[in-house]
Order: sequence, then structure tokens, then C-alpha cells
Amino acid sequence: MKRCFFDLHIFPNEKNWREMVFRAREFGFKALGLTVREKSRLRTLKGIVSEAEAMGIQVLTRLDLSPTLSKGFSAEVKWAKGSFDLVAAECLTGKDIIAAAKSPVNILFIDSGSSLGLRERDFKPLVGSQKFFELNLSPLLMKRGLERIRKLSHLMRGLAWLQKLKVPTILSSGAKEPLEMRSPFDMASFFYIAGLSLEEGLKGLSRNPATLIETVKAERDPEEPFPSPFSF
Amino acid sequence: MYPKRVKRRYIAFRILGEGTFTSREVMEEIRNELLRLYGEHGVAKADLQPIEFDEKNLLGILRCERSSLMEVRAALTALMEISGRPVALHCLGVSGTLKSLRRKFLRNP
Repeated sequence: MKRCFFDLHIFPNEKNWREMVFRAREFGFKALGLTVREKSRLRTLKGIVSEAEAMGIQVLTRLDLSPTLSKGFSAEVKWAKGSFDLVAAECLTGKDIIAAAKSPVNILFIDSGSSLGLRERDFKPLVGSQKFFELNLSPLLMKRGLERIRKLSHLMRGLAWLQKLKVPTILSSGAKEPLEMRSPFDMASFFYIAGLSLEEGLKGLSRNPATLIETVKAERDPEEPFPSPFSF
Repeated sequence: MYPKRVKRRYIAFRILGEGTFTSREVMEEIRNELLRLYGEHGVAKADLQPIEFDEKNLLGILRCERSSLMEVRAALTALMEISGRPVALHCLGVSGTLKSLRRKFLRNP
């Protein structure tokens, strides 16, 4: 059976979204997570969704919230879940991870500007929480020299803990520009250097995001149609 | 005693980006990226060789050691610019022979 690939984290803007959707389709992605960081941009995103779906790709809307910067994080997540398909927590510190694990957020990831080196105790709140930890490729591609060395080192350690604690991981591009996007096999190949086997990497781009989407769908009111229905 | 037969892999890739590039520029940047990620030992072990590069369509083929395939693919993925111009390298496919690589991925037997 042919795998379906998902890139649930891209940041298109009004100028480049067509090229990003086109490239994702060319790379063989079945669905994209179009992401914004401000709730007020939902209307712009909705305008893109219908046109992108007409281009032959399933689209999910996603909001990234920061537990540090949000006032009443859990309440904000609950509100956002009514408007966006996916809600993610952009974590800067270990405290953010604890706050996100307690909230109804679907995905957690480490902010690209964070110098946080995660330890086992940071990941423990995620065990059995049915939340997905996301690893983004773009911050690793954009860095050079010592900064990339530090990021790769954190990634290797973090991945070892995630695998040990059996926290499901998803891989995403986190791309802001079309040239930051990569094909599923290329993404899995890059994460291989951090200690993720090719098979695990591909699972993080196919089966795990599919499970996440199914979980989100199941959380919703059955009467309410899910904006981007999938059949796996 | 003869050394073991070297097993190789051929990689077809496409450059996404604007502008034209020479085979030399492309190979130099790929080697530099591999050097940044894996050091001199990694570059020597990979035994990278350019096979061909179509400057018009920005399609290329390179050869590497089978045991270094994943490292080379990671370097191709990590490449963000060639001669100062932003690009992305998309690996089209990998094969053990040039003939099957061309047949499967470049449709040019």
C-alpha cells in the first residue's frame, strides 16, 4: 500500500503560498498544515484553504501558541480548537512543555530560537498524554557553524529520550519559503544523521501524522464536519 | 589477497532555484556541505564522483559509496545555496546502476 505523507507545519504568506502548495504536491505530500501565529490571520488562511484544495492537496489550518506568551494558555487552546484544525504549543522552556502537556494542545515543538537542551524529565509529562512531539527541519537547515552543531546536539539527545519514552514524533518542514521545503525521503534522510532510522523518519511523516489527524477528528463533535476529511 | 569489490550507489538529483550552475560549482557545494556535516573522513569515505550534470534542466547524477548513501543524501538535503544563490536540492532517486537510475528517474534510457 502506498504511503501518504503529511507536512503539518508550513508558514505560507499571500505571495508564496501557491508555490509552496505546488511544491508540496510535486514532492508527494497528501496534506499540508498551513500555520499562523496570530488568531487574527485565520481569515487570510481560510481564503488560501479553498484555493489550495482546488490545486489537489488537503489542507489543515493550524495555530501555534506559546505557553509563555499566552495569557490563560489552556483557555486559549480550547478557543483555538474551535476555529483551527490543529493547535500546537511552541515551547521555549521545560515549564512550557509541562504547561502544554496539561493543556488540550495536539502538538508540541521547540521554538527555533530556543537554546533549550531537553532532558529526560522534560519529556516525562508527555508519556501517555497522546500528544505528538514535532521536529522541524527548517531551523536546522538555516543555521550554520556552531549554532547548527548545538541544535544537532540537542536534537540527537532529545530524539534518544523521545524514543526511549516512546513519545510519538512527527517530522515537519517548518518552512517559510518554498526553497526550505524538502521531499519526505529527503527529510527522513536528514533526520537520519540525528539518529532516527529511515523507517522511523518516514513513519514520522506518514503514519504518526495520520494518527494525529484521526485523533483530532475523533475529539470533535461527530455532528460537526471536520474541515479536511481524510480516509486512510 | 584482493580488496573487497567496492559497492556504489548512483543518485539522481534536481536543483530547485533560479539561475544556472556549472557541474563544478554544484559538486563543490555538495562536497563542502558533506564536509560541514561529516568532516574530512566523511568526504573521503563517501568517494563522491560527479557523473553528469544537465545545466539546462538542472538535473544531475552523482556516485557515492553505498555505505555513505544516507550521509550524502543528508548533505544534499542540507544544501541551501550554490555560489551564493538560494537553492534546494531534491533527490529524485537512488539506484545501483546508471542504466536503471536513468530508466526509473530520468526517463532517458
